[in-house]
Amino acid sequence: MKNKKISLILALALIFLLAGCKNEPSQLPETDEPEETEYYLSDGKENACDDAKACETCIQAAESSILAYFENEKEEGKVKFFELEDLDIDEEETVRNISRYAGSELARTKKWSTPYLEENFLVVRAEYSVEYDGTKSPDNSGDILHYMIMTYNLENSSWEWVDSYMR
Amino acid sequence: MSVLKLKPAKLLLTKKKDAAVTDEATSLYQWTYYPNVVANYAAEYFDSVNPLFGTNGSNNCQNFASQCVWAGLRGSYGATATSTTTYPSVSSNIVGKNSKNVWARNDYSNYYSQSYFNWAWDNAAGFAKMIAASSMSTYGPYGNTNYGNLNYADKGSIIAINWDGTATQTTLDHAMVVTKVKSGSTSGSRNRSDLYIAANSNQSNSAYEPLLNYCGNYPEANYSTSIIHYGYYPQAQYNN
Repeated sequence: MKNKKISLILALALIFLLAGCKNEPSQLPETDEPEETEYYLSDGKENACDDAKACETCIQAAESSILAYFENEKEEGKVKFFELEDLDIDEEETVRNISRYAGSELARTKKWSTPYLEENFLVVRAEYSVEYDGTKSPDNSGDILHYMIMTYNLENSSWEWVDSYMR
Repeated sequence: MSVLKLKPAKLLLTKKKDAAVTDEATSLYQWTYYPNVVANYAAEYFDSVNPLFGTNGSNNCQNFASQCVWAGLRGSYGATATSTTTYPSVSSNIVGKNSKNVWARNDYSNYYSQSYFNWAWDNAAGFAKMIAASSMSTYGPYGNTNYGNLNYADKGSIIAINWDGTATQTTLDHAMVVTKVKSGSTSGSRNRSDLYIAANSNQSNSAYEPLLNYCGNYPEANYSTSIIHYGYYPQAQYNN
């Protein structure tokens, strides 16, 4: 009888402890600090730069996007001259921007989970010469290094140009 | 709320360099600049487009930064909230095409021979130069630009970077809005690690991204700082 009582007390204590552990995370204060993330895919790839097919289709999409963009600028009379010289994936900038965006407020707004960024985010470096009509465009003429941020749209199965910066 | 109507006699003692702007030097109101409103506007629009101004697509940094300054001068108050050409913007329809203080979306002047300086609303070098040339007798935001350091950057300042070397009038590539400064840092001795920014093209990861995280490890000499103190306009500032 005494042994049964001890067993019952131990069992109750164990249940209490387990329940307490389970509830603990929900009692922690919420924080806006981004979680630290390590960038490794399950198959060992670090990001989409290692996926040759993804890179190829991304470069094609970036090229047609930037050509269409400047064709439109020409039609509007803003651009007098444009020549695309080179276009390629920039791995260093891809990694840098994934680490900037992962877990950020912007990533939450755009619904970019960290695994999504790792597999579907690339930065393309475009080099070109351009001459703007200074009365129609505020942009600087010259030899431009233009980084195109590309993300893969899972619904359309296509790479899309979503943001830019120049160096 | 401090609305100071300056006396014309005092204004005529200030800069009077070109004929195009002397007509403005009559009786100007001093408009207060609200850095907190700048930061709030940046938080609202760093990841979206205000349809009033639209976007410059792949090169939207200074358009976004100018909008933040516009908001800090209470541009979103009163009737101007639906116009890109009324104050605090400075349209060429008001001051003339040959004025160095044209500052309005999609508007430009003919004042400078280097065309990008004429687009103060949309070009980083143009905005910095407009602030450098501002005076209490010309319409628009008033302040000063320091090239080559961040020492006096503060919440509401517009900073710009030259990716290729020391920042000068002609070499600015990219503009950002200072939305927060590190607690305990002192104006006059601020550096890269004291500043938090919001930006477009490319978008900052929040309205308060650490500058070092956003730009990487570029030296302070590559930056310019445009500090806005007030605005000067021929009518009183909007209150609501």
